[in-house]
Amino acid sequence: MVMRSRKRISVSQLVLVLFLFFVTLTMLVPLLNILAKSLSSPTESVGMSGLAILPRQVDLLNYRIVFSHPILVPSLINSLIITLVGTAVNIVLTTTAAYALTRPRLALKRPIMVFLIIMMLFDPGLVPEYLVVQKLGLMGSKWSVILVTAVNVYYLIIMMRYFEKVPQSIVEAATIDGASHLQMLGHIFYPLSKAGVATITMFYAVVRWNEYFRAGIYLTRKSTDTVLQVVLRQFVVLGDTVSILGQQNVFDYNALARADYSALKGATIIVAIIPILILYPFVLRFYAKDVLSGGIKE
Amino acid sequence: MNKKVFVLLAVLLVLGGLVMAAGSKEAAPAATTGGIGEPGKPVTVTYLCKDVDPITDAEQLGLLEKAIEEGMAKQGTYIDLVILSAPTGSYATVVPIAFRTAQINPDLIYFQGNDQPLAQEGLLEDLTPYVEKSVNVKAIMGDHTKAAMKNYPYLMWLAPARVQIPVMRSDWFAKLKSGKALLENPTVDNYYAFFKEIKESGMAKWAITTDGGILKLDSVFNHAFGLTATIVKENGKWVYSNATQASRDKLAFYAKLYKEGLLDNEYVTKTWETMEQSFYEGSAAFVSGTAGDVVNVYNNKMKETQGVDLFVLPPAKGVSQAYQSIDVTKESRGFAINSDSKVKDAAWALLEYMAGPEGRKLDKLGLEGIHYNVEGGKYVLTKQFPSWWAKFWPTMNGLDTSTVVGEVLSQPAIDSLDAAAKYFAADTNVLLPEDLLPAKDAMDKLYREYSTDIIRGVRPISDFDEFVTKWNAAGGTKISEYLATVLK
Amino acid sequence: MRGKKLLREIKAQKVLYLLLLPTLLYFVLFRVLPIINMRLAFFQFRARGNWPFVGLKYFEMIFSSPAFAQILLNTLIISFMKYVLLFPGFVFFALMLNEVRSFRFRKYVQVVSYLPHFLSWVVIAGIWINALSLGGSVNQIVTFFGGDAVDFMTDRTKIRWILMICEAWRSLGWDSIIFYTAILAISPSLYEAAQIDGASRFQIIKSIILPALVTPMITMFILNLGFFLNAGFDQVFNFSNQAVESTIDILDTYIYRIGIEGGQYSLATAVSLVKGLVGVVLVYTTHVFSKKMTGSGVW
Repeated sequence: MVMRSRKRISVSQLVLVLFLFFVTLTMLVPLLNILAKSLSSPTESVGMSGLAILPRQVDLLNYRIVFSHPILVPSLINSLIITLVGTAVNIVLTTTAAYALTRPRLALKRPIMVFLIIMMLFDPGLVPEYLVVQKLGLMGSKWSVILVTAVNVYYLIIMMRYFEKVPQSIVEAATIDGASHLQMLGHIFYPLSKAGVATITMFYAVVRWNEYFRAGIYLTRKSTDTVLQVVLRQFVVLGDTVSILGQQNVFDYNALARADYSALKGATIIVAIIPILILYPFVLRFYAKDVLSGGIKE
Repeated sequence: MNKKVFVLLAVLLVLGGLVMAAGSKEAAPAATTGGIGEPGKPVTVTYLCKDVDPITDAEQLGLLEKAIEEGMAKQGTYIDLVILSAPTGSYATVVPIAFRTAQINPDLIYFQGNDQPLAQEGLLEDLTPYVEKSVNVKAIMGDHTKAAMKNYPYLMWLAPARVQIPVMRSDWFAKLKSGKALLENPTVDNYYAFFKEIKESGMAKWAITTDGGILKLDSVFNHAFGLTATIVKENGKWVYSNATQASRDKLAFYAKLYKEGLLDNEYVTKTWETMEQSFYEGSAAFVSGTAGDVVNVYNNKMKETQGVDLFVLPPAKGVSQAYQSIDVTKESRGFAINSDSKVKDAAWALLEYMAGPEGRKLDKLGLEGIHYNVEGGKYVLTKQFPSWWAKFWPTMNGLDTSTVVGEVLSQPAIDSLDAAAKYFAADTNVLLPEDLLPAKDAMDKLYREYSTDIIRGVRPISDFDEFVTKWNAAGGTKISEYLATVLK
Repeated sequence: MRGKKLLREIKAQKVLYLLLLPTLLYFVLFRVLPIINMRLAFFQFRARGNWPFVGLKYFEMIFSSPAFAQILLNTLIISFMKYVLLFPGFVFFALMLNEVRSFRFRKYVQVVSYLPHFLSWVVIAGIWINALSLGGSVNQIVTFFGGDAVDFMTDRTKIRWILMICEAWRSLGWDSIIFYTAILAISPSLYEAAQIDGASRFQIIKSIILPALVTPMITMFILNLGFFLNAGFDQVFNFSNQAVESTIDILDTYIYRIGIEGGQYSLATAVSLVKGLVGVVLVYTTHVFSKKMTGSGVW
């Protein structure tokens, strides 16, 4: 029952809306500004205010520079590979473990759960992990980054909660029909927990795509071995213009070196955000659906 | 009986052969030029250096590789030089990491920081025996290099001593009335008046600028205030000069410069690129650059953008007069040979060659047809020449400039080298043992924090005393005790 | 015999254990082995050869160093700012969202505010370093209102606040979902009853909505305490620079700097060990506490 017939807008409602609108502006404007600057020609973008959201004199120059950078494209490919393979590994391990752990008669369930919780709590730290990666001969290989974060216990628990919601009756019926565990997993649990699987897939994928730290240590064999976020960091956080323009250009102080760095940085950021923006609607659909459609209650 | 003796002898021979074979593996490195590799079967030597990237610069580096290989072949040494591309990241951070994790394993590596832990772990080769037996390298080594190699024989850097030399545009300097007084008697007060005139005449927004730290300024003012070395004796005790009264006076002076707008108020966030940019574009009048190569670069670029040369300024005079004292405890950068390398002799042979007359030509003059042309038996530098920089060492030693038409080093750069030699002072410093390094690191950070704050006026100069107390607590006292045992 | 029965059960559920195997193998390789490696804290690292035993040497170095004390202080202060000071903001945001009458506007706010959570700190640092620079948008606003432009990123007095505000920018939306969900779960009959009683909106918030939020508030608050020593490595790592490092260096960035960059493996491992142990105690204690008070904990 909703009492919304009178569309009177109270002062408090107005203040509230304005305030929230302002908050969303702080989130949108920086992103739009970066997008606008990156799409503007260098002569225009230099003078552009930090609050402008429309490009001036649309020019794809910055993106051309970014994509012609000899290391950016390989790093982008590396990021894609790590994200795809890594997320696949994540999902396979997490769902199979969640399934096994939600089977009621699992003998060692308690000790295994305790073990997993301890694993979640106790972080051995960087150096010990690094020594193990070295011992296993994974230094320099993408598998180092992929395997080191193969399972997130927190997401595993989320998955378990979803699997626990599958009605016991269906499971029993399937057992009677002689379904194997794998069949149950594939034909019953996945379909019925689609939202859960999709959710943690998105979560893992975002984490994979945003990975920069471990890659910066474990993937340093060749300059083209690295991931996109590392290149991004070098350029936009550390301000290392040599990394995006090349030493010769900076040394010569030529026209390229006098480009608008902030627009160039913007273009690099946009390129790094695009997959997130693509995944985002899916996250909203699967995970936040309830929250988004939550009703107005009086 | 004879048969038995025969068998015995045979066995002894075999054993002896084995022993000799085993022993020869540990033979001392042979002095070499020649005798390495064969035509058609060259020894591969891998090389890694900062800002030398075969991915972005494939053509020129390919030509350089070929030129070096051919030059060395003529001398009987056959190598296949392979220039590697450095991993992505800040060179000083990522290369030591990549090296330690064995992801990269070049034979010859350039380091610009964080090499000491590697040397301590035995990952870098001790170059002393190689230098001993060398000809070319020994010939062009400067005294400061010899001293540094004695203290820390893992990095070799054949270059003039790294001194920051102050320079400014010659046309602006000529316009300033206080310039003459400054040259005659470069006291701190005269320098102050000089800076004031720059600002008041409106020729530049900031009189001085620097990139993030005050090292470049220290080169001009340290000695005048009495900071004659990294470690000095105050009240009979050996201490780091950072925490002395002289340091306090100097910081108070810098704070005055900052407050009156003479020192760039944005200097903390400037990098070397933005500092140079403001210098060429005229928003700052006075910068310092490393004597020789860097001043040369500044000069060339200033010529390009503003059409004028640079003028070299002297260090301030006070308690004493010199540019920054030359620290020979350890080179801050240089080439090292991987102690795991299978071709150490070949790697050294490469260094020997590059130190010889032919190598110096290649290193400093660049590629024929691009950076210079051979005309009438002389090397005529082309317009492209300023875009070349040495991929091995900056030193001019060993380069016969009489056959070169054009300036390898511009006059101001030569002036800067002369000035560095004229106002030379040796430093007193020690290499701290592994255990004390974390404490020193903390102390250095403390100094950087307090000095930046005092200069920018965020803290008053009176906070210096607080700094000294914290400095001592962080390790200053402990290290002073150590210094007393090492320095006499 | 229990053992025999156990073995039989395991054999019967072979497939399940096979399904579990990869995951368990992962934890053994990449968690248990590193934990065993933590013994390095008691030995001096050697690239080649055996590690000599040095006992508590590195722990002494840590606890006698004023630098470490500062880092610990930084960690606690920054955590406090992010997880205590900022905390009401999340509740507030959920409340405000709930008060919005327009369904479409609320959805718009949600869609926009959830996004920053998914951006990497590298991206966020890139955006904000630019916005906070002397010519950036923040200073433009400041000067518009008559103030002086400030170089925020090198200002030690402001940098911690910047960390806190950027953390808010990133998490305000997403981290408030748990509170919003709790509000949504309030039974409509409560509202109806309040309406009949003629309660004002304010009274409704006070007596119906807030009580429903108590449970998630306590849970989240206590859980955040458990992770107090973390303070957000990724953010600090990307926002740090030489000028402000001493103020925002936290345990994890310190470990990275001296361990990976500086090569002091043993010292870094010692710090990791201390942090890890304290962390376990903290998380376990807060979990038990939270479970006791509200019925839900970390797991």
